[in-house]
Amino acid sequence: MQQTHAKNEQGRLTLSSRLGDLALVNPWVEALAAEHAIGADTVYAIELCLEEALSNIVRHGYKSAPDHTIELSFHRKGDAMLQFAIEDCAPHFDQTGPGRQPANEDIDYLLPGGHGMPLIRKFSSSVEWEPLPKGNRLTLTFPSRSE
Amino acid sequence: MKLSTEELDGGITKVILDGRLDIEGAAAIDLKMNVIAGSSKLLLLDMQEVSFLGSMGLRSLVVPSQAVRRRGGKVAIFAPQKMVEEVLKASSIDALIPIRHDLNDALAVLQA
Repeated sequence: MQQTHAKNEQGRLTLSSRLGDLALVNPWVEALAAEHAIGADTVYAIELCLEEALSNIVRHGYKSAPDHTIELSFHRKGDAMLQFAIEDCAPHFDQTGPGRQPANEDIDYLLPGGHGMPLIRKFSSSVEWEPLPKGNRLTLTFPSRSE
Repeated sequence: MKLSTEELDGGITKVILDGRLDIEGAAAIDLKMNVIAGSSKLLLLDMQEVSFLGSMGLRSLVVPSQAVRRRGGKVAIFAPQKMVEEVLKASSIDALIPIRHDLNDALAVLQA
């Protein structure tokens, strides 16, 4: 088993740039959900969007090179919103940019892997990308209401 | 992620999925799904016990469904949970693979 750089502190999680490390995200989100009384549907949306964004960073930002880090942080934004920031040190890439759109006229044109950002847009309240001096920050927000 | 199959009347293969269809879950079923898709023409994907579906999980459903359709077969999805169904609909999968919550309706889609 490969070593991992994963580190979990309250409101922060550090991952290695390995798809296997993504399994550490859900327990972290579920602990936050318990602490902040986040409803099940919102937890689903958070886990979905984080999986999509993080897998994009690993596969496209870091080109699957395994020894980089990804920092996640969580903040409440007032009473209404939950905010997750994802920072990496990959070359600048805006995963919020226009991507491939799933076609709906024939199953052969349904593009595997082309659904990540459309799902993030659908299941988050907002998604913003900003370039950092050495890397990228992706900020996702979700409503804090519990269902 | 668990996958089991059951052969139904009329040459229908019921694929029972159970667990999280995330990156890890998708990797666990990809090979089995492709093998099933290579030998069955009528696939019923029972998603009652799938608690999570992401884009890699979608891929695990779409790729074998493409293979079945190319051989003149049919695929239907049975009883996805609410948020899983939202992901299917947000990805327009439902326009191509019918979703039914009644088993007889799902079987009728395959037998039509």
